[in-house]
Amino acid sequence: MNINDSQAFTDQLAKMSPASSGMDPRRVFYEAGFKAGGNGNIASTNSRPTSLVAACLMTLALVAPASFYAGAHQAATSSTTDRLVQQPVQQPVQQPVEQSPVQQSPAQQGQEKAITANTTSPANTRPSQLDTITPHDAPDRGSDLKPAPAIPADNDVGPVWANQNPITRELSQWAQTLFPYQERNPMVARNQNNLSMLSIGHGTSLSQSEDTVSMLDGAISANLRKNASRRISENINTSPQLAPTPSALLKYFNSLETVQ
Amino acid sequence: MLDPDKLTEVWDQHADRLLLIARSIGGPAEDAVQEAFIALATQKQLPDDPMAWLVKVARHRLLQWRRSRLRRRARESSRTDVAWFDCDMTLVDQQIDAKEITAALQEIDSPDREIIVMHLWGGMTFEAIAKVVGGSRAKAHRNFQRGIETLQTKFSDTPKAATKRLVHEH
Repeated sequence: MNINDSQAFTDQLAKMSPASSGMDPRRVFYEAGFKAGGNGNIASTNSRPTSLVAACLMTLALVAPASFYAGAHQAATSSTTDRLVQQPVQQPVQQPVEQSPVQQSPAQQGQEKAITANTTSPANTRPSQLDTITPHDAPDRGSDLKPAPAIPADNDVGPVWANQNPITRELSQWAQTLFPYQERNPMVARNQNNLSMLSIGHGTSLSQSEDTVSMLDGAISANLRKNASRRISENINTSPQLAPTPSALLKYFNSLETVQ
Repeated sequence: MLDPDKLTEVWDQHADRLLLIARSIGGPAEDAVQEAFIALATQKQLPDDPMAWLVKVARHRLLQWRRSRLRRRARESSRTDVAWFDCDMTLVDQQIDAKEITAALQEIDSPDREIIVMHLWGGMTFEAIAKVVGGSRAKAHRNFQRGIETLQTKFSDTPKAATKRLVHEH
């Protein structure tokens, strides 16, 4: 090619093809479902700024003991009504793990108690009526609390769907019908799906959700390592605690919002 | 709401080119492309020139983010490492490397860079470009010529040996 020939140079440049975007159109249009869902969703997004949600999650990941994670995981995997009924009964089972006064200094004990007092209920971050419900006055199934809206069987997205109003849900389903194709790795597909739904639920872009989740993931890992080393150093014999995934934690938070 | 079939067609035709243009503008290009297509999806009818419409929306969003600095700089700097073009063997044989072109384009000032990308790879006319970036059709054409000359100078100055070495490394 003669570089000095301007026209030839331009022609050669024009022959270069843009790199493939590599963007998943389904992920792109999941958010379309949210954005097109009407002003109601936008208003709710504004009342829950991303930074606030991220700060909340970070604080919980760093401060809460492992028993909280177990509770959160359990809450994430059970329905809201089940949690209301079962939680006060199950709480004493979890408490001895963190509250056992084995060889602890008074300062440590005080700290532990303070933390545990804050986390006796997974709903402690949102003071609400949930905190005052006891086994005696817990509502019966199907009495006051309405069940969450039906979730399509082919969508493994959890309570986030339930939080969306009908038009948003419908639009998201519409978006899902676009560009149908098979993911090579089902695990990747599931993760991407969760992230997409997180974006919808919290009104953030996909990249912001990815940032939040990776930040949270790191914080949880660090906290688990810290707890493990503490158990070893204090010779506390405990069974392994089940740590939830970031998506499970966020599902849990979404379930709290459903109650409100 | 736009018909899904139409939207799919527009995505297939324009997504890659729109992303390239967004990268040439600078900032979180993927987010801008996403926003542009979301905006398009909510339209009742397909615009007359979908590409120009998408470029206008994406560019507006990028400039807005740049002004309000909602996106972090770290993300912006990491995106500049992305190759803008598919590696073309024919061009490699002719001693022009896709990465070199990307780097050379990034050194050209805005809006000349954007106009080159919009015209050469976005397939936009100078009239459509003028509507997007502002100014007249003639001005857009002048900016394009100036940018191409700058680009040409960069490659003319590259010693042949150095170019060959870059090609082999690639």
